[in-house]
Amino acid sequence: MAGSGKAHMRQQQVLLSAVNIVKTYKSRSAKRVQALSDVSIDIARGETLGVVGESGSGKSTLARALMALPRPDAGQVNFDGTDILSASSAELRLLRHNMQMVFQDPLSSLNPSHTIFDIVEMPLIVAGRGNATERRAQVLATLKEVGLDGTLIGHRKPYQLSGGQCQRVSLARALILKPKLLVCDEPVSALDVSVQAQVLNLLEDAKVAYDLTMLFISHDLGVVRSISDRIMVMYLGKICEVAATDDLYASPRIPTPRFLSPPFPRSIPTGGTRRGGRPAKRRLRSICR
Amino acid sequence: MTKLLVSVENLKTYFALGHGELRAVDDVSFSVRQGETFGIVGESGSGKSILARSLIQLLPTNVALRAGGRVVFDGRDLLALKEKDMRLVRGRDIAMIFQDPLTSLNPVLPIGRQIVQVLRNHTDLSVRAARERAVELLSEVGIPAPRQRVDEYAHRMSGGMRQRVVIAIALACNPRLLIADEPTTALDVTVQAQILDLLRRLQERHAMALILITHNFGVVAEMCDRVGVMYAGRMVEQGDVRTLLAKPKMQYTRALLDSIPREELPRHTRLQVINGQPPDLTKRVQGCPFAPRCPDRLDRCDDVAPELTIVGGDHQFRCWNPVRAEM
Repeated sequence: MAGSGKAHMRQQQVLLSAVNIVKTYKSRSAKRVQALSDVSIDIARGETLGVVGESGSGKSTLARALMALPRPDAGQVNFDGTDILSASSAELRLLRHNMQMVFQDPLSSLNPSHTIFDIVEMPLIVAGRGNATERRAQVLATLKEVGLDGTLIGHRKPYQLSGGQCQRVSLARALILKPKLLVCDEPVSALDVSVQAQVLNLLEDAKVAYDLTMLFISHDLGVVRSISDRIMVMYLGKICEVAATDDLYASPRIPTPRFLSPPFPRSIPTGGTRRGGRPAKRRLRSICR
Repeated sequence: MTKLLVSVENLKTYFALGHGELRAVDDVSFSVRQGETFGIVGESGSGKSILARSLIQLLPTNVALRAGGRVVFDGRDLLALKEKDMRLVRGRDIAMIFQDPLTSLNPVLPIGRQIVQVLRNHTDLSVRAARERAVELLSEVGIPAPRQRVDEYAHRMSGGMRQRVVIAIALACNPRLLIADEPTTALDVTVQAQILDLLRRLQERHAMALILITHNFGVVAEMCDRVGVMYAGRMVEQGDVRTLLAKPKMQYTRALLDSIPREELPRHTRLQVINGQPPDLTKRVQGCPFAPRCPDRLDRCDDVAPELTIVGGDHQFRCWNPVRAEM
């Protein structure tokens, strides 16, 4: 934990690296909340990096900062050889074709007034790829990849589908441009366990089929363990542990993971419940939070 | 063995919809002893919440419904009570807490007033005494500085604090049964552990029975003595929590447990999935409702509803081709 916080950074085969990312939000009472303080990460090609942490630890802010959605206040993000934060808006738009995102709430991340066809086709139109016939064929093929029959559900709207189906549509929309990086922000938290298993399997398949590198955010340690190669633990806007998945689960160095979602079937930690709220971010200055 | 507190016998709750009758709760029987925690698990739409609401007659009134069976609480059949009498049971003998603490609190009344209301309805405490009791209750559920917080509004509190207030309201009259419908689903994982811990301590102190509805098997394993699994409005398996989680008999229970990523499996293992969709509850199913999705289906599963099988005294399930113990 001590030191510059960059000891885990690697040199080779890195698809994305982010150095010293800082993101500060102003809260309504004009106080400043440092959602990300000096976070550095890298993701190697073909790797799945799991990010765990409780609500408010900065997981989602980090995912968004990496895609400059919005830009962080300070730091550098290098994606596949390009410096993202110094790119213009027009350049960013092109860059983002290679980095796509799947969000937590399957229904609210899809436009309710568009049909499934329109939703999945939209990235192709924005990227200016193909003519109408080609696009239609590609939409059908991508929907098929995620286990949906486009001829059956293509003309429906999101609210006519189940949560699991909506999440598949989100995934199809993210995959259709054949991105290099897929960022999944709690993609299975809103789903039942049986549907969760389907979506997790689908992500593993897509990773192979599309040669993807993944950033996978979740608060469920069982889920993250199953899908990740490396895991990063966040707490109050800092990274407090990065390790290969099996090492982290075998010997965690800091206590945070124990507080997180219970693994099955040992479940909720009995003696280790934290009392009271967690410390307010702005009050903290020391390294160990 | 402690005394039975609630016994639910062949409970049915059917809603009359335009295109048919929706069998939300179909012939469910179970019982809860004093001081015991009974878990109800199942996927969304399996009828868990409607079952809980059927127990205390808190069902939607804008749709015609047909109920059947009995809910015997302390020797009285609750389904036979008049609404006037049922109101005395609700809140005093049986209390319920819901998933979303914000929508179950009144946004325009300070939280203390809401606790006082319950106390004044069910006890003969004076306003002043009820207010004192409200402060006590808030402190009992672990709200810091309760005397200051008692005049606070719900929107000024965090989700975990709100759920504590809801629990305080539920406990106000020392109920003998608390029904908790997904009490921690809307909360952050660390807060979830705190709330479950609180429920467990309060349950011991007040010798209260708890019916805990959840879709999280981790919560079940940690909290419950016995558990029932719901599928398509039916309770397909129930029994002691250790037996049921370790040696499920019903195919659906096993499939559900298999779909959870477990620590002992190697990474990137393909998870077991349950193919297909749950059945449409407005269509009558002849056989087992899980048959179309079941990997070990027999011919008769489609035609004949499985009878209740009881093994080892307490473990009940409905399955023609139960999971065999592995050698």
